[in-house]
Amino acid sequence: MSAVIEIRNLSKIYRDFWGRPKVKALNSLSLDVQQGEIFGLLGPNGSGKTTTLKCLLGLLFPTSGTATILGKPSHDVEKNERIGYLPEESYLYKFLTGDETLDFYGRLFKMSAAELKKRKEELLDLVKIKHARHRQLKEYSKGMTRRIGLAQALINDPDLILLDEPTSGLDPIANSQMKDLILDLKKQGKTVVMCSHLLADVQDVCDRIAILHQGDLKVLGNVQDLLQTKGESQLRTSELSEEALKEVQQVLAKHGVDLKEASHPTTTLEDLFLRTVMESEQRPGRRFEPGELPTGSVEQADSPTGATEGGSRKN
Amino acid sequence: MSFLYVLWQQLGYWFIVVGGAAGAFLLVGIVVSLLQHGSAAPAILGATLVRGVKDLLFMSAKRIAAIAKLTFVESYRRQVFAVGLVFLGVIMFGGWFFGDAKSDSIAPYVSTVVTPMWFVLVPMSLLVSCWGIPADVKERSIHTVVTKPVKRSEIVVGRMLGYSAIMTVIVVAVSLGNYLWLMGQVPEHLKDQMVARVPVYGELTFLDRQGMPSKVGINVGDPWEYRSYIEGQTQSRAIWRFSFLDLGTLKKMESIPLEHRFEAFRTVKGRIEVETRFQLTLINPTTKLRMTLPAMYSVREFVASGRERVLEVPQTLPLTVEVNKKTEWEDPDLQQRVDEEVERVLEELRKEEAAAAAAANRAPKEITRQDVKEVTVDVFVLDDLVDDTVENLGSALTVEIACVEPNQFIGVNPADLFVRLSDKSFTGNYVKAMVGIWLFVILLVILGTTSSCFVKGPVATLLCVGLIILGYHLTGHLETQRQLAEAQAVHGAGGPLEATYKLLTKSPELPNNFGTKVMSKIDGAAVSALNVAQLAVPDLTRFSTEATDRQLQLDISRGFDIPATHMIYRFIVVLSYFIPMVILGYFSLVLRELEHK
Repeated sequence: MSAVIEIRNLSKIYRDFWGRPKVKALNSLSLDVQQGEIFGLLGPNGSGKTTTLKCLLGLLFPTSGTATILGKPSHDVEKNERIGYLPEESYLYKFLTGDETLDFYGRLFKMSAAELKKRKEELLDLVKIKHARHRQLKEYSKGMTRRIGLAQALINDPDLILLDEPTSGLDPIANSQMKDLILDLKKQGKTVVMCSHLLADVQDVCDRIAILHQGDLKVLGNVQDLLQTKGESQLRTSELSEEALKEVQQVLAKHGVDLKEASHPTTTLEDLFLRTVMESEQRPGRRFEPGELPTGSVEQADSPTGATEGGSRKN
Repeated sequence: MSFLYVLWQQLGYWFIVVGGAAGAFLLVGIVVSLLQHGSAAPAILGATLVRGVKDLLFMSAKRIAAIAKLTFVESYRRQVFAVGLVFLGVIMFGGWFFGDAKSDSIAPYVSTVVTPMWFVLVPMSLLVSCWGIPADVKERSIHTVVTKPVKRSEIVVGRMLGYSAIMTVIVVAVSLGNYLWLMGQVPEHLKDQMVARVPVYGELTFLDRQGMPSKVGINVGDPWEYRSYIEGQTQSRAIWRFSFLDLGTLKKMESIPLEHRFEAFRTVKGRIEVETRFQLTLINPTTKLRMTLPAMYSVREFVASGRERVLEVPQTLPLTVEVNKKTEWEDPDLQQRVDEEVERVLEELRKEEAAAAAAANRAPKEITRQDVKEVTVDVFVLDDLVDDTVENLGSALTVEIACVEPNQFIGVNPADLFVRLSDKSFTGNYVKAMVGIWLFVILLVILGTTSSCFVKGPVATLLCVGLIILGYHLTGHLETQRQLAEAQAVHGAGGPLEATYKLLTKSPELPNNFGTKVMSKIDGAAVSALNVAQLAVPDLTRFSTEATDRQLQLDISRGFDIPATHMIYRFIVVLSYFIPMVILGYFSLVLRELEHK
């Protein structure tokens, strides 16, 4: 795999009108993003995630250091032919309709009219906004605005997609769809860089992450490696009887291993929510008691979102 | 000076101003870059300039069109077309103020629709163009544009084109509406005034009371110095020299129309029912042939229609020559015609004498030239009175005006007498005036869009308003200051610094030392700065559709044809601002972080 993004000693200091340093937003950041991976930039508010993205896109000028993206310097406009960017808020033109929005952004690329038309239809389908394509964006809900924002980011079928808080403001269903879409992009060989402080979302989709704090890089690595609890093992079986559990305990004791916990695993709130919505659509007017909903992952229950128990979505 | 020569000269000035400004910006860029990047500055600056040249030369028409369309839709959906309601109001209620009998001129009708266009379209074009890009930066919608393969130059040009398109639609719609209103509202009896007069203006000089040449006439104490005066029954004269006359066109006309709009200044009541009168003389200064028209003309001060103030000078005038006296003029062609006429008269006299002698049965007397007292020949005004011997003035006609009323004065201005060629259509002239307004609006859009690239909306608007004020009022003032500074330099008074020094030290002379040289250089630089400032600020009076002292001919409400040279001037001004403004706008967007702070 080759590096799609190379950041070397990138620093950014915001200054006041007189040029005096106000905030050090980034402090000598160095990292690479490899082709085909989903990379997460994490950190609390003001940690430098968005600043990093904006420096990469040429919206901000680094105080020092370099950032190359697809082999070109960050200020090079040509790199943008292969990039898609979804900003933190959907900074779109609210007076345009959904259709016009995609049309406008599409025309900024080297695409034929026929290509653009086809791509537009695909994206409107993908982000499920076809029904509102002729409405002005000022009439859209926040979720719809995020979705059309994503569509504009994908209009050029980019190789590298930069997503700033992609799931912010989305309801759980749209959130789930967004995460599926990100995974789908990875399947197509695209590279995705996303900033978020919604850790569960990052955990669901990212291969590698970097955690920033006050402009400093604190953690960088593979999500699985970073989250693994060393010195403990976990087994998952179908439901065990009391006897079977005792036998397992005996076998473990024979090997000098303690059984620390044996209980029914819980699902995530997101999973419960999605399943409830799905069941409600199939059985309208019904109220569900605890435990009544089908168990297992939503994916197993033929969910369009593809969420799995324990939050693990990666393929 | 020919128009092409002036154009060439202005192009030179353009390069001086644009080159000077570019040099100044580059200097600032070098200093800032050195402070920020130290030894890496030359490489960074070089790369930025190369990128700039590339971005400015290779723009995508498709992307520009997309941004222009976005800008148009933005303005449209923000309901800028509501401005049409203002004009609807004018059109609906304007008619209330005119009754058939109330006005004897079309000027108020034309002003009613043209003047509001300035008051509405100018602020509107500023509001539209000065606020778009800052709003884009503030709302960060520009982030989704500049993260696409869009060059900053394409944003600047696209925005300019978009705003221009929306303003074009508005100007066309308003112009059309106003034109239809005019056609419907102007009463039938005033419709003959709906023409575009084609004036040929002359240069005005004077003779004073003693007949001595003077650049100005008599000052009658009128605080408004627009007109200068000649006194009746003295040798005081107002003399116009009309150069570059199109003789071909004039010869096709039955007579030579001279339109005047003099002003009378009475020192005694006189015969109040009789208007102050004047007499007109045509002069060929080279041959010294003078033809005074026998008719007395009245100063028609209170007549609205220009047609009623036209003096029709016949193409041929009778000249009576006393044969045996030496003429004051020296014109071989005319002399030949006189001689031919004398010969013809002599021949007739001889025939008559022969007949008389035969009848009286005597020998005929010898008839000689002495027997012919005077002959009358036709003088062809455009051949005999037009002087084409003066280099660089083409065919020139000199007209002299004398006031014939004792103790009364006639006030004149260079534009008060002109040769009125065949009238052109009012509609064509109206279109030209509207194109002028449109070009002005486009110029404002260019200036507004550019300033919005480096300052916020309110500041950009103020900046443009300042430029408009400068363009209207300061170009003339700067010219005066520049001339004054040059005159001071020529006459040894020195520039501002030198003059101040002399005042403070009370010494008329300066020592010949290094300090004097430095002062003189600074003064020279001040004059150059005034020159550049004068050239850099557009002379907006040339876009006017209202009468001004300097640009009377641009007043369409008075029915003057807007000259083609003015239209070309306007186009060139817009173009000459477009190119440097795009460059300035581009670098303003490239060198700033597009992040709202």
